[in-house]
Order: sequence, then structure tokens, then C-alpha cells
Amino acid sequence: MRFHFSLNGISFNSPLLVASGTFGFGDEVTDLIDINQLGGLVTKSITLHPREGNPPPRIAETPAGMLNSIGLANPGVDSFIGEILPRLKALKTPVFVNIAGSTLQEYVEVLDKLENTGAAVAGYEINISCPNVKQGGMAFGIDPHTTERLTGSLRKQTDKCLIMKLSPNVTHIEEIAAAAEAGGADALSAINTVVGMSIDVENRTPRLHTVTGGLSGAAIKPIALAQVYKISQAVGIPLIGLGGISNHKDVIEFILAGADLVQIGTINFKQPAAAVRIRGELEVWCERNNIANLHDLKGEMITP
Amino acid sequence: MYQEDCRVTAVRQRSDTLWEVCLYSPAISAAGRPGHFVNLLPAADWGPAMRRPMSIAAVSGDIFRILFKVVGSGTAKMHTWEPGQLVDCIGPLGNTWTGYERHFPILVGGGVGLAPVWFLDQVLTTTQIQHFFIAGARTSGEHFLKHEPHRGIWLTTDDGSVGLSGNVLKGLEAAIVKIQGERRTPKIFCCGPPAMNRAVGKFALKAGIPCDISIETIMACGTGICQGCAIELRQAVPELPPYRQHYALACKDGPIFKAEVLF
Repeated sequence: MRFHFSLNGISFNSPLLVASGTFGFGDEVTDLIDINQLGGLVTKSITLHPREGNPPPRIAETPAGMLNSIGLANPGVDSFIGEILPRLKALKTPVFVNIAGSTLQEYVEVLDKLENTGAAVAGYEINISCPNVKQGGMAFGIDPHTTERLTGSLRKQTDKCLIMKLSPNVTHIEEIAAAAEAGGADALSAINTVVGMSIDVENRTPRLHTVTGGLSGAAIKPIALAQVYKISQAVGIPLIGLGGISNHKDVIEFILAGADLVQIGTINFKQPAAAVRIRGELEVWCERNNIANLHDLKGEMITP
Repeated sequence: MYQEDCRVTAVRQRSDTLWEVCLYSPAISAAGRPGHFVNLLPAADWGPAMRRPMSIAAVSGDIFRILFKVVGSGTAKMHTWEPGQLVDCIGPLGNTWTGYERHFPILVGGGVGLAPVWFLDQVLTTTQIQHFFIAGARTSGEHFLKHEPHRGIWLTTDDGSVGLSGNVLKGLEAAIVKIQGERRTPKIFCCGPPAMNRAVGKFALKAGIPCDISIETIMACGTGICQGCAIELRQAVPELPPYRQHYALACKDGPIFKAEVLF
């Protein structure tokens, strides 16, 4: 692949990571894709205690996308360390553990537990943007001061790559991005899902139990691109773009808008091997356009 | 689990509402067991975010069959399929019917829910395990099986136009009477619309008959990744991970659950 980029000593040979919550813990679809061809794997969100998640219905299909309100269902950090992490360590692809919490202390405790295992993971992605649980970290992601404080607290606990995942459900995402940078984040990922809803008019009921949920898929790509562009103008740290990517042109758009890497999410549900397919498409595109390193296109959008 | 572009070998209308499609896939056909489903793309360039889960209704050689009824955009697209076209399928997925060797199986299917129990019916017939089969519909035009109580097949219709008049419980009652004196104790294997599943589940619980029910729900990945297809359980299932004992996943922990954990 004509792609080279390093972040905190981690060398990426594909710009395509799989987004949190869209690839489980990497063992569900190993029959269908070689995980080691991914640019990186971001795990489902892990919390201090196990979480059973939200009542059904948790998902709904919408034009060019889907709504979800899973509610951070996960086995908790102790089970993760005991049962899942040993398997992830065997992967060649960089693994990032996504962490969610409802208090600053919870985030720090989860990160500490993972650090104490001597975890051979590449780093952490911090979910400060889950829209679907009452205390799912969103409180940290909508205020620059709390974002900076949380980032700073986590920064003190680890030398590993620390990525803060930002919410689009704010007025000025670039302020949150700058706060995460000031707090010591190594990189940012944007965007998490966009708050949305859908109603079954025959029953007059919401299609999600929680009424509102997070919109993902192609429908949010223009929103994500604009947010990534804004963030790239405001910070100097690397940026991972995501939101509705389903083909190589989408990836190139994000890179032109200022992303260093990208994540693919909702497309994984439909096409578990999408990361490999898109990687192949990028290879062909780079060759045809004489691009030696796709990363060279970062921020190279020609503005009028 | 396999992902294959399966060639459509035949498309057939089986009743006023049910369509049957034969798909060529050596891998999925060889691994498919009654209860399994596939998650498919209605078109190669399918725009919506989700695949469509379809129970395997039969397997013969390298070909498996599915049954569908046109209800939404996905099945409307499937209705345009013609022999020769390729369909991207992931499967076989989910758990399978079990315990039919130890019991006298009573199969109950309704609507498109007929698919996984019909598959079980064929396997039991091939392996010469005597069983009863009850299929319910609103009216005769929705049935494609024959009402043959002497062979252990009861059809029911809401309007009485064929078979027993009423819902599948009428057939279940007839089957239970006929089973008296059998050495094997009965077990019910059921799949149908939510109201039917609930009625059969409650009937089984009251009668003290073990009953496994295959449920249908909205689903995205089909493999346990998205955790979107949660089903609320009334009782914890010890075999499941602790965090999924209240909300289990239809795709991975199911789609077949015991009646007592559902109702």
C-alpha cells in the first residue's frame, strides 16, 4: 500500500482503521477478513463495570444510514483483560482500546487497569462523545474545560498513544479539539455519531427505545468532513477522520480535508471486509494518479 | 461462517404471499443446519445500511433455499431477483434447533417463520424421526403445504378456508391429543410472528412442554458485532456472558431461545 504514516512510533501501512463498536473485539468475523490487513483496530467501548446496554429496539435503518442506541453494552474492563486482551495481543495490527466512563475517576481507573497489565496495545481511544447513555462521557465532550481536564488526567497515566474521540453534537468542535490538544492528547478522532431520531408513524412510537440515538453511515459524511476540516485548522496534532466512509474516494476526501488516518464504521456491518476492499481501491487510485504516499495529500484540498 | 456470491438457480412463488429462492453455495449449504440463517444483500449496490437476515428453509446438495414475503424495501428488491444473478450472502449464522432426537418433535410455523421449521421438518423426515408439523396462516392462499393429519401435518387458517379453523394452537391441541401414549415426551419447535410465538410459548409453559422459539428482529451485522439485535430475556441464560444475560443478541446468542427465557 502506498501509505506511510507514524504516530507515537506506531507505523501505519494502511490509513484504514475500523471504528469502535463496528468490529467488536476483532474475533467475530475472522472467517471473512484478515484482521492484520487493517490499518488498526479500535475495540468496542470498555467501561469499569460490565454494562448490559439499552433495552431494544437499539437500531433503526434510515435513509443512507442507521440510528443506534446500544448503550455501551460490554463485559467490563476486568473480563476484557482476562478473556479478550490476550487474544488481541497476538494481532500484528495496532489495537486501540476504546474507553468510556461516567466520571473522570472511572476513565482513569480503566486506563490504569489496562496499563497495569503491561498491555501490548498501541494505545487508547477515549470516548467522550457517546450520545446514548445518560452518563456516557458526552458531558466531557461538550465542554472544553472538562475535556482538557480529563485528557490531562489520562495523559499522566500513560505514555501510549492517547486519542480523544470527539462529538459532532457541539457548537464549536474546534474548541473541544484544542482543549484535548492542550490536555496532552496525541491525536483526535472525529466524529462520533450525530444525534438523530425516527418515528414509526403507524404506531406513533419512536424506532429506538431511547427515542433518540446516534446517526451513522453515508448520511453523516458531509457533516464529518466539515468537522474534520474545522478541527484540522485549529490543532497541530494528528487527526483520524470518520463518518460515513464506504469507498476510496471518501477516504481521500477526509485526507484532503486534513485527516492523517481514517476509520470506517457502519460499512463494516454490511461488508465485513470493507477495509481490505477500500485499501485495494486506494492502491489502484494512487498508482493511477502517481501518488507515492497517500498521506502526502493531507490537507491538500485546493480552496477557491 | 462464509461470505459467498451465491447464484440464484430458481425463483418460485409458493403461495399467494411466499416466494422461494434457490441459491447455489457449496460452503453455506454444507454447513447450514435447521435454525441457521444467512445475512444477505438484496442487491450488489444495496444502498441501505443493513443486510437482510433470512432463515435457511432447505438444503439439497450445493443449493440452499430461502422463503420470503414482500414487506419492505429489501424484500421488494429480492422480488426482482432472477435466475443467474449473484447474491452476496454471509452464513450460516446463529444457533440451531437441538434436542429433537430425545423428544417427540412438534414443529409449529407461521408466515415466513415457516422457513426454519420447514427445514427441520425435512431433516427429521430424511432421518426418519417421527414428528408432527403445524403450519398456520390467515387463509388457504397463504399455504403451500397440504393438510394431512394422518401424516402428522396440520394446517390452520384464521378464516377456516383450509385445515383447522383458528390459529396454530388448534393444531397444537390436536397434536398433543395424538401424542398420548408416545414413549418420547414432546418438544415444540416454533417460529412465527411475535403474537404467534408468544401464544405458543405461553401454551408450552402452561402445559410443561419444552419449547424452543426462533425469533425475528431488526438486525444489522448478524455476527454479534453491532449488538443492535438485543432481545430482552425474562431469565438469565447461564451459558451467555454475564453482560448479555438480560439483553441477549438474536444473531449470535439466538435466534432460537427457550420459551421460558422469552415469556
